[in-house]
Amino acid sequence: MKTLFKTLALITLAVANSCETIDEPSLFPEGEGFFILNEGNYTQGNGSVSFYSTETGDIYNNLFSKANQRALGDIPSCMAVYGNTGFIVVNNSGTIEAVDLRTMESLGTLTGFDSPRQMIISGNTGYVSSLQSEKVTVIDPDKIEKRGWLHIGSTTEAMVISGGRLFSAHWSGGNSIAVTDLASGELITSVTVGLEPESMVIDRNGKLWILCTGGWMGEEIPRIVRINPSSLEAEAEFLFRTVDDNPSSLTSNAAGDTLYYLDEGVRRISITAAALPDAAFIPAGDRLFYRLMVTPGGMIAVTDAIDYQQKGDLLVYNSRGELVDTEKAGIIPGFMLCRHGL
Amino acid sequence: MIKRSSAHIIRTPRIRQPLSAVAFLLISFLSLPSMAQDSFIDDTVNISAVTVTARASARLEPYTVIRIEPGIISRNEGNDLATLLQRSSLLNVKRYGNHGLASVSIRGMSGSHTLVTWNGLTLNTPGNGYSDFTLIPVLPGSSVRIISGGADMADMTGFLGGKVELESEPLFGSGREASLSFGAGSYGSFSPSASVSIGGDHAFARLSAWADWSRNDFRFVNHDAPQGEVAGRRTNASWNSSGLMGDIAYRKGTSTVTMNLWVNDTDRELPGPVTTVQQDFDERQTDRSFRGVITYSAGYERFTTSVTAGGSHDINRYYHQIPANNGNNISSVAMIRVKAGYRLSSKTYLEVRAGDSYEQAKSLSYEAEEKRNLFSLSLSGKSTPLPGLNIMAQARQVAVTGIRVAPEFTAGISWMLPHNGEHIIKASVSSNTKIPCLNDLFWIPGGNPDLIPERSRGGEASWSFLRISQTGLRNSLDVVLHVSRASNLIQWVPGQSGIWNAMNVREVNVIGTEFRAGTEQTLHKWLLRGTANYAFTRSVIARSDIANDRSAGRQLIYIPVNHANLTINAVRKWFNTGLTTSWESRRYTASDNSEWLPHTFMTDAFAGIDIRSGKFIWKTEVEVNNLLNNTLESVRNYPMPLRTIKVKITLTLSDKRKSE
Repeated sequence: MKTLFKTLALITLAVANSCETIDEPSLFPEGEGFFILNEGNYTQGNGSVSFYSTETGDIYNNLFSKANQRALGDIPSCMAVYGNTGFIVVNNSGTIEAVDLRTMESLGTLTGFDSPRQMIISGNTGYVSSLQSEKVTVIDPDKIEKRGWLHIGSTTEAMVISGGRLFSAHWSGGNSIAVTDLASGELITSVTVGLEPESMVIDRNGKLWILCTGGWMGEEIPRIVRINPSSLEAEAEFLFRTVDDNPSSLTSNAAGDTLYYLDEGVRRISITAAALPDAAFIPAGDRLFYRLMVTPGGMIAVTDAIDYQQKGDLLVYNSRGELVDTEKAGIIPGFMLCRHGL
Repeated sequence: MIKRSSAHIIRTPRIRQPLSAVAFLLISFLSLPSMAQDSFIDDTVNISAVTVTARASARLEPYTVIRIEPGIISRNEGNDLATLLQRSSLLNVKRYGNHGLASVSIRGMSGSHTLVTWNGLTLNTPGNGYSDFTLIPVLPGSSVRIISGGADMADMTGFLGGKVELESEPLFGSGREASLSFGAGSYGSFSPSASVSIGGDHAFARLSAWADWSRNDFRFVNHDAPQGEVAGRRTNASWNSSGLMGDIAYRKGTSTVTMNLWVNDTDRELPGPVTTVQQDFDERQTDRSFRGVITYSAGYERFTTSVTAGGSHDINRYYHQIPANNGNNISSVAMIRVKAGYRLSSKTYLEVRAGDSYEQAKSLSYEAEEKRNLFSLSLSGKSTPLPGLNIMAQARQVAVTGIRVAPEFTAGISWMLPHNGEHIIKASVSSNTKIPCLNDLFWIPGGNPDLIPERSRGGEASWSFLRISQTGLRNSLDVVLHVSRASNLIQWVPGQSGIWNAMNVREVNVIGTEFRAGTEQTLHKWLLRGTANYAFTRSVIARSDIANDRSAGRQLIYIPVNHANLTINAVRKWFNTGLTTSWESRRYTASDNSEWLPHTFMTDAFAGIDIRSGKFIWKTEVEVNNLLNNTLESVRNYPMPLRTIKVKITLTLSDKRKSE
């Protein structure tokens, strides 16, 4: 009997040792691709992270919960990259999760935010906008801790940085862009644009483009406004058709010479165009396009949240607007962010 | 900003005023010389049965009618109606945490498809079509009936899932009774109440007052905390409710007049969801309602008639840390209903019902005050062509401002098999409609004035067994099969414009079976009672007009496929004890069934003693809820308390004679 126990013990030890030498399979592959933040349902705390590999054409879902054995939170709305670290803003949980972009393992959690919405990183400083607070929170991405606040004077959502200035959009019921000098932390001025500036982008000429939805109740006709970020003067304004239009998700290609946005499909416009396009580049058809991103390689990724109560779709188009892949993502797939060189 | 804190909510002196008034009346009442009557016939305390079974009259209906036994109601006095139904029925209660908004769904439909009436007055608000079951207290003298399915057409409008019917029964000839009760429990819960009633041969009056407040800062387990599983305490969750209810009735000959009044006032904080960390949006809600009903009923030879008139006024205010998000909803209903019946022969009875209801509602999200008139006419006939065989047919037509409503009908049969009426086989088919609520029609943005009524067609077949022994012990078994198809279901769906709109988009197939068993046994000197209920409900989306929708063939969210509960009660002289346990299988939280809440198992235990001395009864009850300390969520991320304890002491002075 003793011999039997010894034999069993040796076998167990051998199996245990052999297990230690096997690497855990990665949750998602290395290489080019992009992350998708699935918002989940409001108050249900079922937000999640997916990764779509543009090399294999496969999607990998629920990465955060698989890597950390816990939920990400309620409404992940934005992700910012700092080296190998991603900062996921979880809006309705009031948290920011710092994760390793290679493994999605949590590196730390920042809590106590008041409806954090978007995050942008410049140098070694991160800025977090808020839908409820009139302050932008300043983050130290190295230490994964709060560093301070910028007093903006209004709630904020979309942000861009240009020429040492932070441009933050007063989206929720507002019609202005707050301009803050990052060196001094002082609010310089506020530029009036259209009602509810939803998204912003800097083009290859350094011009600031702002998409204003016109108000969620259709108070005014939506518009895209181009501003010179140095002089802060409006250089161009493109009005949409009617107050019932609902454009969103203004973005640009990698070259910064073409803008893309959602408006009953995907539309694109050259930064030198004199008017908005009449037709959609990629018609929505029976889809309900929710968010849009253009990869450096020219791929166009669009999400469809379907009924907002089930897993939505990721639709990937090539640069000619041809559908090349459809994948099932998480519930309400929204913000997307490319990963390079990891 | 709205001033808000737990202290402010709990200690407001206004709450005590109605209670103080009734306490004064009570003391006055107790000081009156009592009538010299034999108060009690037996020398043991008569504790009502704790079974939930169909009574004789309900058993003869061709559809499922359940009357919750007075004993269960008595034990749940001081709780809300949602708690009572959760423990004693197969209804599905969806609750946003302890004291949070609770809706009740029946037979696989949503909470908006459940009609709630109080003495014939609809409690569903015209604005959102729901009734918050947390705001309905369980009071002495309450009667609660559940009608599953939409077959019953006694009301002015239809419903698809079922009906919860509350009645305040006048107890003529019951003598005088006064009681004071005080309950206290975990997490700063206090629930005093008082009632007085006088029941003469011709007149009856009852006045009840109650208050219920709680810090409600209960402990819960957060499994999703960033630092791992942690225990937490609920914040911003305090609760404060109070109310008055009065019932007056007078009868002479075959004529009876009843009047019921109900004032309810609730102020509660609304805790946020626990999504990795506990949210706190400083939300708070107040609900005030004023309701009244007068009914006159009379019979003359072959004629019977009744006239019911009533009204309600509900004020709902919602406060958020951002004042722009505040809500202010006010709705009013005035109704009158006439019923006339004529017995053609000893075997056939006909009834005509007509009613009109005027609804108006105001909301910050309406363009203007919305109003509509609803007229309803229904015909009903019952016949007994053969001994034990009952046939019933009903038809109803509703006319609503701006909406075209299809006629509704029900046909049913029940057959009492020969053998002391122990076995009844019954079946019914029906076609019902539910008119859209005002929010679905007029909410800005997204309200859709072109909505059509939701519709359900279905039927049920059942077998009911009831045996009452010579010693009065009851044993029963009911088996029901039901099937229905609901179409034109209204759902808020996103559109290309980015605005969500109310649309008639889905069809749902429901098929299910229900088992209810009850038994009473004696063991030595103990009286043992037990009930077991089980429901299997497949409620799946059959068709959807939403593009690329993968929910077809999937179970509706928050509807468990399996639901069971078990109650065991043991009584010996002045002591009683028991436990109630319920189990719900997983409840899906995503329409494609990709996410769900795990099954829940909830056990409550209770024990009580009744000490009687002359005309006084001193009743002490102890209740342990969530005995096994399970982590529970009825709605995702809205935790329910771990184990809690409640003690209630009731002092009753009664010279009651046996009620008629």
